[in-house]
Amino acid sequence: MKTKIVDMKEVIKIVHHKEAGDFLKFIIRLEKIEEATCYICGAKVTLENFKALTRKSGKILFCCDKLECYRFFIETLRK
Amino acid sequence: MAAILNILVEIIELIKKYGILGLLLLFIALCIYLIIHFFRILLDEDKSNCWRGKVYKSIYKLTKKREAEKKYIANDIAGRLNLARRQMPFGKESIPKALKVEWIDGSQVESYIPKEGELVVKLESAETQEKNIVSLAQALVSRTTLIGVRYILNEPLENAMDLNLVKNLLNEIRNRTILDWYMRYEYMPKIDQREDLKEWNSKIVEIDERGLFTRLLLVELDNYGKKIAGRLKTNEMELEIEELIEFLYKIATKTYGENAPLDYLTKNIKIGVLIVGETSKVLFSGIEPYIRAFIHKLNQRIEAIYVLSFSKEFLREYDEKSSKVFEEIQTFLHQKIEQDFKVQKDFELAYSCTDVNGRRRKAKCIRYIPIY
Repeated sequence: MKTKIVDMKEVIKIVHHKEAGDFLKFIIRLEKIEEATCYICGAKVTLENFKALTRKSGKILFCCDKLECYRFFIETLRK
Repeated sequence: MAAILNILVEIIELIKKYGILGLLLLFIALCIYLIIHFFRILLDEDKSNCWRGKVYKSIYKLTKKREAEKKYIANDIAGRLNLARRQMPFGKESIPKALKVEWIDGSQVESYIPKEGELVVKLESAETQEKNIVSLAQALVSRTTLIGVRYILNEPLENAMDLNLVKNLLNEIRNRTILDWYMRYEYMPKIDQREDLKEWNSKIVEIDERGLFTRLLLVELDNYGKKIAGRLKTNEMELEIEELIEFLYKIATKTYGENAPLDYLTKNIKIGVLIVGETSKVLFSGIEPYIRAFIHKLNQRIEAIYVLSFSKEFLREYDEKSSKVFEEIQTFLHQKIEQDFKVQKDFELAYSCTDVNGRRRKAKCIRYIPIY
């Protein structure tokens, strides 16, 4: 008897690289912060190097586009 | 190749015999086949996503319009990753979960407020779609696998499992460029960073090569997570999982005739493994030794028994009769188990893998849950 596979979906939001700048500006305004910093390396997150963000315990966390930072960022989210 | 030649010969014969009518019949049969194939794609969401991705890619290449680019990126990623994950069975489910990508675009860009725990990822242009696929594969694996046990795992072990899950997922996409990019820029640099990670990784790779990573280890970790839900992490728990990996590693690296423990009994994990792999043993002794081993496992009140069958792929070529007997004995063993013991067959997964000597083997993993 063949085993039936059950399915569920994980939603991930994506933003186009040409629209990411406007989105980042909006989030910075929303959060009432001076500038965004990478949650992993602490570097300033700009329109050019922005890679990802999430909300954790109500606070928005940003991640820059270094491969290492993105990897650690998604690892941190699951804790 | 021989099969294709046979079909071609038959087609020519048909045309010779019936002339234009034969050709017409063939054309109708081809049309019916194409229509059925088309509907099968339409009904399969992931396949139709891939096709939609291809169509929008062409539109984007011609028009350079951002809307077409976005539709290409989203459909292509969802289609490819979701089709790939279907090749990674994990008990009755697939691992990781299916992916749905949603653009934040248009007016949303300046009004969208991310919800708690929601991940927003910036994707690059369609020209670097490989990077986009890798980014989302990593996020998907990280967010939807090893649920309920991550807080117990030590960091290098957790990373080793994630790296191999992403590698397997990208491998199933069957695109060398994507896998190569991941291996070169993500997998290898990460492995080279830490000795302890390298060590855990080599064990996970061996277990994976025998097909026991997603079919056994992750299934047991998922059950473990459910069993210990809400409990504080203890050293005992950490050790239980690490020793489970050692247990499976010994089975995965067991050579012909070598003994390896086949039962693993701790406070929270009670599993047994039965390996039906030695052709000579199966052919000359029949199912008796396996039935005795099964009874022994039941006497130990084991909670899940995995019957792993490995048959030599080449056996059929050089001894067709033995190959047939080998298959029949295996089928008989499972019939006997289901008939004589109070067990529930949880799942049955057929696959192909390599043995310790690098030879291809056909394999089957069946999980039985005894009812006491």
